[in-house]
Amino acid sequence: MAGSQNLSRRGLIGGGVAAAGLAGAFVAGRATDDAAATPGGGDTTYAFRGEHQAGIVTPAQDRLHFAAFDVTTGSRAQLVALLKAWTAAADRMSRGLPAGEVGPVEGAADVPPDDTGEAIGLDASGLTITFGFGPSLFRDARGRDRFGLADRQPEALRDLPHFPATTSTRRARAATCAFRRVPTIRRWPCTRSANLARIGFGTVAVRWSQLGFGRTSTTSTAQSTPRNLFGFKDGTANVKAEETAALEEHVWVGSGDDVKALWLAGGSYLVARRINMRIEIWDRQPRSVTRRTSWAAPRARGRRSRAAASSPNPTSRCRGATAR
Amino acid sequence: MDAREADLEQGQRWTGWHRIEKDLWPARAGKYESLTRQERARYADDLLADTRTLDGRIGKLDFTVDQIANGSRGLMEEVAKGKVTGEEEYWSRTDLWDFQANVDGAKKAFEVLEPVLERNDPALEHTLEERFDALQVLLDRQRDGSGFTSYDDLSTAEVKRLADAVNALAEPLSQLTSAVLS
Repeated sequence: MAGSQNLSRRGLIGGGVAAAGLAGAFVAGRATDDAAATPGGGDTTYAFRGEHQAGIVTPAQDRLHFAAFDVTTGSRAQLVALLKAWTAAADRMSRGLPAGEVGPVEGAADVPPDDTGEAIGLDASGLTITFGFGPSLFRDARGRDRFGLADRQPEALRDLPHFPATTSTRRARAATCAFRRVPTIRRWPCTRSANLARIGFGTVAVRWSQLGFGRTSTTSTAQSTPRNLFGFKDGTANVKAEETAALEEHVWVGSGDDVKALWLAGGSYLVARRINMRIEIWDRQPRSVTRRTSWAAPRARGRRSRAAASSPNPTSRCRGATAR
Repeated sequence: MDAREADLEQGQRWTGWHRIEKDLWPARAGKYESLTRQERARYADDLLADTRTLDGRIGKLDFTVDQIANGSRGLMEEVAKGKVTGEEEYWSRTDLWDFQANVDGAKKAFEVLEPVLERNDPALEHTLEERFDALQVLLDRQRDGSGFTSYDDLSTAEVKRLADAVNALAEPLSQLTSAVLS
């Protein structure tokens, strides 16, 4: 029988161990059909720089690209330079600008453009870009300090243990750096990620990436929860952007939480889990199992809400990881 | 008896068939330390004893019509989830043996219910018979001596044909319970 593990968004960013947030984000949008249907669409922008990174309590968008990178350089200077270049590019793209200062079209004819160009004519459309670090940025597999950062590794940022009915987390675990971008326009995520991957060539290499579509959870009381591919409402129990006290308690790292990792104050943790949804099999279950009709959550639970976070999902094996 | 290593929760001890399987086919395990003779004997003896206990208990059980019908569907779901994908027998790649055993079980349950189904829904009975046969033809092509081809030796096209045949059977099979109860 399929194993089921359920992580609410709260679990994902509150208690995890995979990647730690830095700071900053942005969003812009335009009035396409996509954008009109989604909070954060239209000409919305979210600031990349700020107390917290965007893309965490930002109203969840409909599209996502999650990419994990290995840092391939041994040079601290190169790593620093990359993070600065990524910051600048992410800041610009969050405002709906090209990734580089020249842009996809202008500039000298004999050099390649500093923006990959697929987003010409599009606004930022609620784009957020969220960066994080995995434990292997601080120490390699043998525990050696890679970039002089080992003494600043957050206490909770450790490799994940084995989870029953979960396979091949090793690939994901080893990733050093991850970002995700969640714009409201369909074409955005890939194109904007391509810019960041390109800037990183030689310093980092993509380990894995995952596209996502169709938001199924909520991060704001202003949002309703669409159904997931099994027909369930999933993620209704998340801490919402409006619940500031709960966010402080469960999501944001406080300034006194980890004296070795003061840089993480205002950041958060993220555990990504990729779930293999065996939809064909699920769809053959009798209604007494799937409770599809008008039920938002399994019958035994009665009303949806916080309790729904532990509703059984028929997910089975999962590989690697995913962001919700 | 049948737990896979990935299924274990913290503190659980791994025993049963898949524990033995890994020891017999350690090729994919990397730096694997073999079991000792005594350990091997213990795991094997335990599995044999547990199998006998199970066999003894099953003989004393009564099954309702819906349990049998749902069991048939469940066996094909197992195939779709773990066997046609080559996940079940991760170490030995003997998934087709399991595949066949599940089909046998599903078929047996179907045959037990066939007289009822013949009366209630002859069209469904005909479809199921046809699709059991079609799947069996594909499986028979992979026979090798007294057993089957290793999962690793199946081509992508062969796996797809098997998966399609499993879906083709499992879909009408999901109607079996309601048909025999109607």
